[in-house]
Amino acid sequence: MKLLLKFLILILLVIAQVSFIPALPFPFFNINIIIIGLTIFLILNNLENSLVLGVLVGVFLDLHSFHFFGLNILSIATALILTYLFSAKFFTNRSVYSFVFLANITLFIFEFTRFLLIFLFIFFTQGTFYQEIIYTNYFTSLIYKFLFSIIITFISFYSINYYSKKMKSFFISVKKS
Amino acid sequence: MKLFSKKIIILFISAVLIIILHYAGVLNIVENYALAILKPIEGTAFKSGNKIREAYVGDVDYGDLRIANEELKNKNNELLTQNIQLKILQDENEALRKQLEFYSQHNYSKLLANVISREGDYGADQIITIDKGLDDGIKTGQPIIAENGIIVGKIFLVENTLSYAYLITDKNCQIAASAINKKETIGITKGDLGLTIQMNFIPQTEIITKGDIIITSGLETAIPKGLIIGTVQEVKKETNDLFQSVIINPPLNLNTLAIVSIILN
Repeated sequence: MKLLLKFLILILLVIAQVSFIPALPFPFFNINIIIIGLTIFLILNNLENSLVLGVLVGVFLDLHSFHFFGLNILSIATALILTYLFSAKFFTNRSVYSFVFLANITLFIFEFTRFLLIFLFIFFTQGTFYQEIIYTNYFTSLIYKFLFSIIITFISFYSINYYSKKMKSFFISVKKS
Repeated sequence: MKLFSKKIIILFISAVLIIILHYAGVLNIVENYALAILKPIEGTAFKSGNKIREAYVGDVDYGDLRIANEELKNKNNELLTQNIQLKILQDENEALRKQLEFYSQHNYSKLLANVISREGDYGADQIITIDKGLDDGIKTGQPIIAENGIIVGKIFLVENTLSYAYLITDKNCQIAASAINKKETIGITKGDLGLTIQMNFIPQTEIITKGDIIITSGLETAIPKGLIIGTVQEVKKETNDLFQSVIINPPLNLNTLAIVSIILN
């Protein structure tokens, strides 16, 4: 039952990302709800479950994409693995800052991997480095993506904190003897 | 947790297997079924997003919106949902009526399609995804039509149940065009910054003025002559250049497309 619910939420997220968000006015069409959702899931759960979900999301996104199949699967998986390493090594405290930072790291790795794979794909299939692969508003769009990621993760963090204890910060106190 | 645990390695192999099976065509049936199930929901989601965009950008008649708003205030949630559904149907009806009007005057074989997604990605500014594909007879190069014979894009990639098209304002979308003037000046249009269209390769000797209507020239096999591209907004003429170019204004808002048609032959 819980698995079915997760799957339904996943489908809804994909539909929202593929069909609803792109139809929204500027700058709202830059929201990347999938990456934010997956980062929250990664922080609240574990890497294995997040990767399962990430691969499934990637399959659905790739089915809707005109780029080569596997682009989103690989980008999401890379982003989740590297974010996991960051969360395990550096951002171990469950503060809002680390939460926001991790979401933006995931977004950055996702965008970077995607860009790199498309670049390599064009190079190996068309044998050129010179094709213009960045569209006119690419950097503006990227800035908005990060901005929305910060806003949504902030809201998500406090919402999760309100309803659950999973994100509560904890401190090790030393008792004076 | 170990990074390369047994479960993660299995997951990695599964992901690679999915990609291989996709290219081998083994997953075609499953993929087509999944897309067929999702398409109607995606169409509705896209139209809902479009409604928000229209209200936000101000493409709707504010007088009507005020009245509609007054009416909506008096309704409960159930009626509100019904009203949104009706508004979407009304818009669909209006778009279909305009399309029908155009096709009743011409003998083209057409196919109606819903826009289910829009993408701006590497190398392209404006791409739309429509819910018809190879199975419906769509081929690359076919024109996308909106309202009364206005060309809004061109198909560049076709899959079994979906197709992708560049909007005419995308820099990758090139269309053979001609102006409605004395000499029927010909040229090639290309999208410009996702906002306007540029018509290039017009010889310096041609006289083209602001307000001239630009149509398709019919020099492309899949695109018939006479589809409206837009009106000339600005003429760019340098004495040293071999050719002159013009900026064309598309006649409708390409950001709110929801129902389009494709000319099949």
